[in-house]
Amino acid sequence: MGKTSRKTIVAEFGKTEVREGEQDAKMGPALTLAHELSAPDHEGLVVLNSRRPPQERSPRSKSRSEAAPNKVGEEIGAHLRNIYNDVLEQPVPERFIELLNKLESDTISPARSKAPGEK
Amino acid sequence: VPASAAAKAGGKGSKADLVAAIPNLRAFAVSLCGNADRADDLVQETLVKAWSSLASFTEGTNLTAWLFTILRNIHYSEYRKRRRETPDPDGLIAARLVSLPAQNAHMDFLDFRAALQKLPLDQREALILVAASGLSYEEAAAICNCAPGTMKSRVNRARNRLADVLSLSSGADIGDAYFVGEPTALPRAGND
Repeated sequence: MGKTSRKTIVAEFGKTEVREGEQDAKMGPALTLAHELSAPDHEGLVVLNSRRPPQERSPRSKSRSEAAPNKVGEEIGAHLRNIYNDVLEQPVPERFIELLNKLESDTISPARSKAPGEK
Repeated sequence: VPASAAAKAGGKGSKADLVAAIPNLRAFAVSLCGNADRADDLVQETLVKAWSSLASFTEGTNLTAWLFTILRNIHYSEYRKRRRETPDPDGLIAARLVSLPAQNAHMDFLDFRAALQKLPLDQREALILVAASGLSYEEAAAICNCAPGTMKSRVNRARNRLADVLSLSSGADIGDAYFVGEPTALPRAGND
């Protein structure tokens, strides 16, 4: 990022809110948000409430970066998801299962009825 | 992720639902505090608190978002405690940022993790919720108890700051080294 864009950034700090469109126009996509990604790419990301284990990551869609290359922005998004997904894909540690079992057995009448199939 | 999609898989708040939410909770916690052991302690505290507050969970709403709210509130209260013990932790952090070796060819993954943890907490959690968890600005704002506009501005500031650090460490603009960390010093506090 050169001096010119530095000025842009500092100038934008002066605003209370930077609109997405302006940001993209000036800097390119600083960061690819999950909801902006194409569907196949999205499957490799974290989808909250998705019970499926995350699918294998498909190669990142290049369409946005070709339109306005911004290596730094891409790098930020990739690093962030790397940290997040790395943990997301791990099995649930036994300590948490044990904790919940203990909490459940300590509760004489659970707050709500048990889910179907739950012992 | 459209808000509707996130809200769909609500869950009843049963034990099985809590177990299913744990991977997301752990991922959020690690990203937020940057330490795996600390993260799992946070998750543990969150689960205990959630279990005792299940009655306040509205069935059919987003259980993961509800759990995120609990986790970040616990993290915040402990962060404040730490702050009182360590004067100006963010200032010290900013000072270290400036000394980041600018001649490095590339910022590697560890550098990024460090830079992420040096972001102010509100900006860091905003960025994680929106860019890594895939929540909408509205959902993230509800978790952090702020306006969606505030959430957007936090995400933008976090991006800009990380972009500064990334471009600095790639040697793209060594002359800008002294600017790193400056935004905190600007009188912006009330603007949030």
